[in-house]
Amino acid sequence: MEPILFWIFSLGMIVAGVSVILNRNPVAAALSLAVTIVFLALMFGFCLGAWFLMVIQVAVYAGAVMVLFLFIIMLLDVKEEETRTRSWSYAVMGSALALFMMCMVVLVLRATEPVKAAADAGVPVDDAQQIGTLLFTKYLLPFEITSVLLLVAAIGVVLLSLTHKRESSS
Amino acid sequence: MPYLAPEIILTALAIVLLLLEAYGAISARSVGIWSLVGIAVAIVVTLFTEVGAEPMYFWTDPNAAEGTAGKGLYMWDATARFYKLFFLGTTGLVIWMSMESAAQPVGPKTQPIRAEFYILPLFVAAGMCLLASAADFMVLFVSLELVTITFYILVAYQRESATALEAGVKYLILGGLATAFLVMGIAYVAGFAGTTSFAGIIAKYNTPDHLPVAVALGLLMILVGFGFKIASVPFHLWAPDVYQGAPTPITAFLSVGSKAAGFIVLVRVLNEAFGPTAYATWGPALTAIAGCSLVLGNFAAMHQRNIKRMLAYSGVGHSGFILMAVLSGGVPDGPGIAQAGMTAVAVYLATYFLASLTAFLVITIVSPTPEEESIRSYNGLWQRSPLLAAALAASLISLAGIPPFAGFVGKLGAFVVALQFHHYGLFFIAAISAVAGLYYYLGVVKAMFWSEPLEVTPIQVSVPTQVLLTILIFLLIATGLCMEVFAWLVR
Amino acid sequence: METDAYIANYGTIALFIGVAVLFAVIPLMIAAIIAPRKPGRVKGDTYECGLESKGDAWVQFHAQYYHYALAFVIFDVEALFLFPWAVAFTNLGPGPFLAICAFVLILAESLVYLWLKGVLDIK
Repeated sequence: MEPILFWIFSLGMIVAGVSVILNRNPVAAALSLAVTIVFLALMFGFCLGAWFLMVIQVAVYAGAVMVLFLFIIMLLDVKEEETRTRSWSYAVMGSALALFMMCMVVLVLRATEPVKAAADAGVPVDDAQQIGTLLFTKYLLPFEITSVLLLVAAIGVVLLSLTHKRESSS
Repeated sequence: MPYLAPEIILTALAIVLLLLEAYGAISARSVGIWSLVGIAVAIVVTLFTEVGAEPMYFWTDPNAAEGTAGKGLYMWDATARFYKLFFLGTTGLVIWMSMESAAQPVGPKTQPIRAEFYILPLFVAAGMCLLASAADFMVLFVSLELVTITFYILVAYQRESATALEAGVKYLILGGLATAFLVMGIAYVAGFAGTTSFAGIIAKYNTPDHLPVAVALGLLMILVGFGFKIASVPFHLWAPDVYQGAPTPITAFLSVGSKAAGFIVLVRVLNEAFGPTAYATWGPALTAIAGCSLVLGNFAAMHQRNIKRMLAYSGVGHSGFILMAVLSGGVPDGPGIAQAGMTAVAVYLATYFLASLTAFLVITIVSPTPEEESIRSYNGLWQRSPLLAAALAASLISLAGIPPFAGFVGKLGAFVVALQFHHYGLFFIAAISAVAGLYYYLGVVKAMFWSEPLEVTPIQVSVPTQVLLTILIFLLIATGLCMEVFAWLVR
Repeated sequence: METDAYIANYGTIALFIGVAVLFAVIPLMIAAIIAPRKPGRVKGDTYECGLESKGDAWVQFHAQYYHYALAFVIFDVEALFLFPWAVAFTNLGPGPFLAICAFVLILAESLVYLWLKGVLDIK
């Protein structure tokens, strides 16, 4: 049964992914990207049993990051983007890179035993709790660093995107 | 002193200063002074903290069944302490440079130096100190991101000038790409090893067999990420434009701090997470990277007209020299990187620290605007300010690696390691590149002393900076004369 | 997992999704087939809650809104870290509690900072 879900989600991801590349309208491309992310999230949840990861994927990527993308697009002029011509060199370079990554993944998968997902083991897991326990015991230090990282991001917002009044004092 | 103290001091100070500044209770200049005080305190604390042996966690699960001994996140060994001092010193000098450039008149398109410009380097310093102690890929990655993301902001600081914006965008996009490679590599290695801790990975893969394909690929991708940080060919493409467009103190920070941060994580991963058998994977790759960096960096630097671009390419060359010292692994049953190699890397970085930061301090004073960054502006600097000319000459001669100066010791160490580990081809390339380096470094020195100046107005240098420059010149010569200093430093 | 249990679990969800999609698609199809077609300028206009629409909906946004979006991302990520903590905190000790306090305080500082710098004001 599970392969059916896997194939549905991957097909959805591939179709949406191709439409990100082929769409000339940036807003449509961004929305296709959101669909790709949602399918990936579904795959995390239904095929790997990583439900918390699914929630994060949707909340951060399909939610927050896509909002940023759409804001950027709306800051630019959408109609001007649509009239741009495509460059073949980018297409060739992109395909080559994609092919390279695919070869690498295939190479690695052929050389190794498949890793069992938590859901396959038949044990129901509360992955949010497990992540929480790990994050707040063993990985407490990196967790604390991320809060500083987010603070730096806030400073970046102020320094790089806010129009400052020119002060004579400094 | 408890471990983690320097990082906590720096972060707490930065947080307090940020809040005070936001309320308008403190001027930018006093933020700068407080930052320097904080750095000084952190240096003292680091000096007085005893070296500990085992990597540690800060909180472990009381219910966990598995033992956590020897698999911590954070270690405080001699290497960590040396690099912490290195990063703290770099940050202090960078903040000093920023205060120096804040004193200069503001052009129409330049932003004045704000308080955040002194606060952000504190976060970078905290991140770099964490990197020096990282014993786990989780800490390594998050700290590296703290450093890199802060740099994205600092590089694009002069966002009203086109070159600065170009620099910011280039650094952001290529940095993001490098991070993607690094994460992918870490995912491969950690996924197959089943752990992110260096001790766990080496326990699994330090066997006489070769690394599994996936882990080897992961290691190579991690090297791509680090190669970007240390600006080595072919991951150096950002360096010239970013060095040119960033504010000069930040260029200094990138060229010394960020490069050293790249090297400490590189040697950490190769030494602590992988054993001698991994040399078959990274040895050839790093040899090629080192050779290309040496040749391209030193020969491209010859044709530069902008002094920051010249130092960018020469910095690529220096990465090549340091990589030569890194390439000292592969001894069966030995460590990932031989002790001789570790010492050579540390000594080279220490001499590079002195020389490069002195050069950038002079550049900050002599070239307040981008127009004054051309090498021609340095013509006859001797007549405008003898002290600045002497300091720049000492630092450039040191970078070139001529005997009485510190840089010679660093180069000597790298060459000795190359001979010891039979990298004769690389040795030959490095020798030629060093000669090419003489040409462009001494070209600037010649222009400073024997060319007529474009303008003859003397350059005023404040008294504290005069003292600092004198100390730096003294150190450049003194450490070159008695190499034992480095032996004491590295221990 | 057993196939029957699998169908019992996910089959219901699949059925729901199918019915939900059909519920939306069928009326649209019926409308497309039997509705008369008289396109006009007013009919094709953007619907703005009954007001007369002004201009195009696809305009360039003011850059000020972007600060909001950036601040939103920062606090969205913060919220995600709070979630696993809330689920796991019953069997954690006092250390993690202090850690999450520091985390929230640092994030609170970034809120105060953004506020004082005027990122949250729309001029």
